[in-house]
Amino acid sequence: MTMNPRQGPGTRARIGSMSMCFLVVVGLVGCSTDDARPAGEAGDSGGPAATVTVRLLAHDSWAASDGIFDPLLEQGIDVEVITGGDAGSLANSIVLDRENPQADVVYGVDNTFVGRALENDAFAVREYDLTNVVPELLAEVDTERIVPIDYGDVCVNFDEAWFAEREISPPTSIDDLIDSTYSGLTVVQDANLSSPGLAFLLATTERNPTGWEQWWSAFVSNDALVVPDWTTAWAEFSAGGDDGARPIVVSYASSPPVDVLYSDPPRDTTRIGVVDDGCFRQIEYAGVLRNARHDDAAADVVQFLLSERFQTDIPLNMFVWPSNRLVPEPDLFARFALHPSDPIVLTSAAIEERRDRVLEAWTDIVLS
Amino acid sequence: MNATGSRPATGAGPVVRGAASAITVAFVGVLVLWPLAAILRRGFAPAGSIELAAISEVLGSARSRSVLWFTVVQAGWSTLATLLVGLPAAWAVSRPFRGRAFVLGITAAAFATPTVVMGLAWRSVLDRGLLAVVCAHVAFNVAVVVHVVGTAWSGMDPRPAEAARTLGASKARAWYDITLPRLRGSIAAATLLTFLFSFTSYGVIVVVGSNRQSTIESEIARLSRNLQFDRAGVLALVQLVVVIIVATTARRAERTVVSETAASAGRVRSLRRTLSALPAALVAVVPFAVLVRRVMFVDGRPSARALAALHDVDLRVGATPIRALGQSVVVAAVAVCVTMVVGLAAIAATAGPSWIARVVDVAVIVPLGVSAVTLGYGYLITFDEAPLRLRDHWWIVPLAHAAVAVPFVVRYIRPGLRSVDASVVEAAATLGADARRRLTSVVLPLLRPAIVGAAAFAAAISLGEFGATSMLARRGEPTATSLIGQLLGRPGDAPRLAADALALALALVIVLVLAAGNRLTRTQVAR
Repeated sequence: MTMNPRQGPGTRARIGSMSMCFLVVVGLVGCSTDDARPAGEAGDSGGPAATVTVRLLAHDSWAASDGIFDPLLEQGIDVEVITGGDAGSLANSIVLDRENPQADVVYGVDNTFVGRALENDAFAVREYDLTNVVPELLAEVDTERIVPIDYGDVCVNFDEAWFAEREISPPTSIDDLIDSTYSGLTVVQDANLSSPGLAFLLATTERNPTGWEQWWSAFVSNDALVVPDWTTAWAEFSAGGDDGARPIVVSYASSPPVDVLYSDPPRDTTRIGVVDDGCFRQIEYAGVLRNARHDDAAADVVQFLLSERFQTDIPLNMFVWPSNRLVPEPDLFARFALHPSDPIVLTSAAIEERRDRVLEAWTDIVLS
Repeated sequence: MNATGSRPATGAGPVVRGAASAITVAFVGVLVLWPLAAILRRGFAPAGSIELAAISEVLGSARSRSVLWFTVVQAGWSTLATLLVGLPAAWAVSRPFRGRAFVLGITAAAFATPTVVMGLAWRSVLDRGLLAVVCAHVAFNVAVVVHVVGTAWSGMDPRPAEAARTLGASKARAWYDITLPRLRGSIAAATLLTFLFSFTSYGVIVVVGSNRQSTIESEIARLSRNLQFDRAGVLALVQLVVVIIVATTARRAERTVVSETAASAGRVRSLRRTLSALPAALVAVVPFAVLVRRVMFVDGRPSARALAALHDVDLRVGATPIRALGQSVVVAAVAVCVTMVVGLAAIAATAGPSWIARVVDVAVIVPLGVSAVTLGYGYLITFDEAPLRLRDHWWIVPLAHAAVAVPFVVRYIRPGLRSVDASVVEAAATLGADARRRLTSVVLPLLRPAIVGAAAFAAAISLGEFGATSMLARRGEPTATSLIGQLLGRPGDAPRLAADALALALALVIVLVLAAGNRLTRTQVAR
């Protein structure tokens, strides 16, 4: 059976023309969306004719109540939220697209990565009213470029029931984790890929400036499990609601209140304990990006993030503490969260100075 | 009968083929190669002048070699195991039997399971390590073998093998001499896709691999995060080169052309087919069994709480699970349209023996070989200016889905196209049918099962895609997969339950899409 090469050019012609039509349509839609955008923005808001849209780039943990930005609408500012990875990815994207940023404001780059963005001059210089910000959070911060919006602590968590059942005392310091009592019990995140993973690594370098590499060798020998991210670590955690078997995990000081808040069926207790040692303070910043489209409105958005309205919304949506000292801590946090007695607080400059070097050494010790 | 190397029934004219090639190359060039090039330039020429120190540094390091070795080893085992489990099932689904729709549906649903869900499911069944990695890859990719080979097999004329048997050939001999050669094209295609998927795997490796098990892609992720785009770039190029070499090698085998007449229908040897499909179905069922157990039982007691969780767990991220599912369907619809247009263009472009066809053929596979992490950053710096400010639109996501789906669609349909009997088309021409008539009345109806099946499969890819799009910034409402990621990022029972329920609902949608496709093709055959 031979094929007739003359047969069926119609197939191709038809498919070809269909494809062309489709691409043209896609192209037109694309162009028209670009053109129509400013008009649409003004029309959609229902506010004054001069409404501008400020694009807010936030981390994946972004969560806020419906209509949280309504007060800004009255000032003619509509906020479009874009989420783009964790603190590390955010810092990378604002460094990479600095010349032509995809957003006007960034929120959620923390002290572990903001140094990279500052070094690469990713922020515009603006003036902010910092009257109500907790003063400690402003120490050694370049407040012309970035302002602290919230903070939280990365701490070692443990499964209280697991230790109680076995009559083993839970760890009380991070140095306990290399003790043979806790062999094979801990799960941590890859410091290259995960924010809490990096925070925990930095905590160990601060606690043990000259011996942290040996500490990690001992930790790995003590059968510590390294997983890519918080989600996987939590699944390995015996109190993580999955089939996890390890009773010690790197997580947050606010994990217990969240566990209670999202309990189902609802309960008023938690089996998650937090080790009050080696907690690493993450401070999350916001700032207007260099080359932002509407930089005055963008600065207004940053200022709004510091307002009582937004700050009150933060804790129970994103499980961190507000930077505005007038905003009280929610009852749930007061009851269930750990308030570390001696958190490790590092400036972004101090972190910037060591991060890349420490990560490289860590990878050699732990992943090779 | 065996017309290896001859042209398919529908040879296109040069103009059409040129246009089709242009569409395909433009699609891959703009969506994949350009952003890749931009990130490579960032890596190798950060200040304008080219610096290649990273190449020898990366290629010379012991760590890179062990990463490359592990990448190849796990991909090899994954591919082998997938074929072993998938081929008997592909035979089974090539004819109607009780449970056929279930096997097609469950494997496609497994294929589209978000990586993190698949990884966590296997982790709760097996210890971390190579075995868990291979099992998860089999569960993902067995669908590729079952669907691609199964579709080709169902279009195969059983009479030559039967004739051989009548003439005294043993069963094994008839299979080896008659059936296998005619399946070579589709098996090669499925092997290629499976290998590439495993080779470039990231999510599975990091979730179920052990501390020291790293693939090229997971290494690229680590380096990119530290903005070491020179070293990441070297690895991305190594990965791409391997992918191109493998694709080129597979191409020869893939192009085995056999013309077939329509297969006989009717339920046959049901039990044996059921048994053959069992391993594939079992592997694919694992993630869902884990999910079902957790969704149906809360605190060890049966519970319907998960159903409620679908619409009342609100993380205040812009959508409840059920709305996110709706958003996924919208995205998938757009992705399928783009995929089918580009996929059909690619098929037209690669029909002939010219060098252009060869280039296009390899170009189509490239999206599977390019590091998703690299592309994510590439999009950020490439599509930042009008008229291609793709980065700032929600439909960059379905476009990225289409880039992943096109190679599958091409391999889904092409074996069918090659087996369209030229004599039927010829007869239509003799009877006076013009080109358009031959297409609509002869070729398309014959190809319809493959086209519909491919579209359904593309929808499944889009509904479950997690890797490439998790690297893109998200605007607007979250899709199901991105919401699952967010739900799993919180402590507490409710988000976990909602994530599990949503993953199951997503699987259900995929099974329904496939069942609908299946029904559509069957109605057509019956007509």
